[in-house]
Amino acid sequence: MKKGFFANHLKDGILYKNPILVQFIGMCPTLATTTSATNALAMGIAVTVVLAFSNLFISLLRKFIPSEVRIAGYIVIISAFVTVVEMVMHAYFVSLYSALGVFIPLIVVNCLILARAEAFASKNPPIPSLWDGICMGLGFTVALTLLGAIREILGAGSIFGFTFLPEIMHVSMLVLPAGAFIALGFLVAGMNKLMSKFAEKKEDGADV
Amino acid sequence: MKNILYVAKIALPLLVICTLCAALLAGANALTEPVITENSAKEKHEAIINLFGDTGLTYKTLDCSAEGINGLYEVTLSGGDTAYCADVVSSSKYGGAVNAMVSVDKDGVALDVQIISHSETFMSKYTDETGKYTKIDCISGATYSFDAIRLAMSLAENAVLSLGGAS
Repeated sequence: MKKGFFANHLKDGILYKNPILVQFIGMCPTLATTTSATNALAMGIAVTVVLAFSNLFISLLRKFIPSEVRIAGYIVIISAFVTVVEMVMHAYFVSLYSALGVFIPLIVVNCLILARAEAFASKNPPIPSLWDGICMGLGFTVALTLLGAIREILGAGSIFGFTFLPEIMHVSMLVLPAGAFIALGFLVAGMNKLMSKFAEKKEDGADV
Repeated sequence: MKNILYVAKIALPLLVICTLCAALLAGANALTEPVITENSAKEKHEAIINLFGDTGLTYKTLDCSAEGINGLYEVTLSGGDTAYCADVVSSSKYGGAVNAMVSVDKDGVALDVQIISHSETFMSKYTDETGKYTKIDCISGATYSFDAIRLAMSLAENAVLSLGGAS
């Protein structure tokens, strides 16, 4: 394992290789569940848990799963963890369970999870794979919560369910599906601006 | 023989993985199932009170095997009137199941609906914060989902009517 792997990987997950803002994977829950910051955060945490555990187990079993049927094996493992998360939410977080509804079982087909299984967990030892799952999940959660917060603040005048703007100032369109695309576009634009500034600074530093 | 060995080499690991996953799910189910059952019983109890807007009502479970009916309750309102409430499962043409509580008066006319759970993507927008279905005839883009609610209402009406026929 390379020196600085853990810190670099965390930076990659949240900034440089953010699954949503840079890689654009896992768009379905991104657009569908970010109507409020609470829903977005819950979705992010659920995906992070599934991603961390599926990465860990796929990595542990990577030499045992025949490569001809690896995708089938991964999907079985992923769907088992998704079902566990769904059961736990149904039992202990009923309001979140009913708010996220059908999008919880749909985590199974979130391409972020299968992408990390195929690209990372199937080629690396368990601990880095677990860490990869946590980092990518965190990046996913941060981006989702940001998007959810923007849509909730501007669209419904509240944050985490706490209302502070009068109804006349709401841009209700942002809560509708089209608003998700528009808000995501601005978020990605902002992220690119930020990244290009970072890159410029790095180059300046190299010149000196 | 070679082929059989090849298939076995691929199939056995998959079988092992599936068994492990099944064991994991069985464990998780054993832990969460009692809590879920308790929650859903509580939710249905609240739904009945909410539908009639009457905290003083009492109800008893009736025997009913009509299509789509999970449970049928005879409700005695605090004013002494009798009404019915049905726990119905219906489905939309897209295959999403809708579980709803439907209140029905003693003549077999559906009064109100409260959705308990659904696997349709639109519905949260058209129910108020208590989960009560706001009275809309149809929503463009969600026609089939609303058909499922109408189906639930007619199933509940039929169940109550069949009750009247029997007695």
